[in-house]
Amino acid sequence: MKLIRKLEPLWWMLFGGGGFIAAFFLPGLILGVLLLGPSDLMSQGLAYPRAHALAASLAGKIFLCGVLTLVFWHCAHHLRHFMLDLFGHAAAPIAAYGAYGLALFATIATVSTVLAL
Amino acid sequence: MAIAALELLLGVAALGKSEDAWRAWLASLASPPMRAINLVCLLFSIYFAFRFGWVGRKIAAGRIGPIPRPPLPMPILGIAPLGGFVTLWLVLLVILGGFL
Repeated sequence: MKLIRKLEPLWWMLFGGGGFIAAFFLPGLILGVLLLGPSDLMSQGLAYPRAHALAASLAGKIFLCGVLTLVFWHCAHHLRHFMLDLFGHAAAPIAAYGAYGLALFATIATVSTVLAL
Repeated sequence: MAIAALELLLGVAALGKSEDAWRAWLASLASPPMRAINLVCLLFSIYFAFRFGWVGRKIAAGRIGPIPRPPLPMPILGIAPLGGFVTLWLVLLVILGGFL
């Protein structure tokens, strides 16, 4: 737990950054891709060549990595504190290492997936 | 929000695989259970963003050291970020939809 406590400013920074990014971009992405993606409205914009070109551009890669990884870290911080609320401080090491471990795994998965585009 | 981010990551993975994988992923989003999950994700993320902007106005107005409070009433300070968020979502929709 010493390492987790020492890095507390980093977790809070990632949490804050994730909150900002989620508020800025996530509703637009969910509406535009996940909800309207299969509809005719987005059929041109999300056609494979265009979507691939958008995502595979340098700006697209930075955007995707930034948005997805920061949202994962934001959620991990929430999850850690939610577990503390549920199980108390006895669960602190499991909550911290579990939540941030998941976020780290998601970050590696995101970066490798985006770089493979 | 994590579920939505995970779904988007799966979409990026499908985009990296092939055109067929991308189409199959888009088609999977049209199923009723996925629509329901995505609708819940959207409502929650909108609630989060609005709460974020509404609470943020107090931090902006009162907490930044020696900088004086902005000479604006609190509701305006709240509406400004919310308007900014909605505008940004619309811009994102326009870009994603290929209308630009």
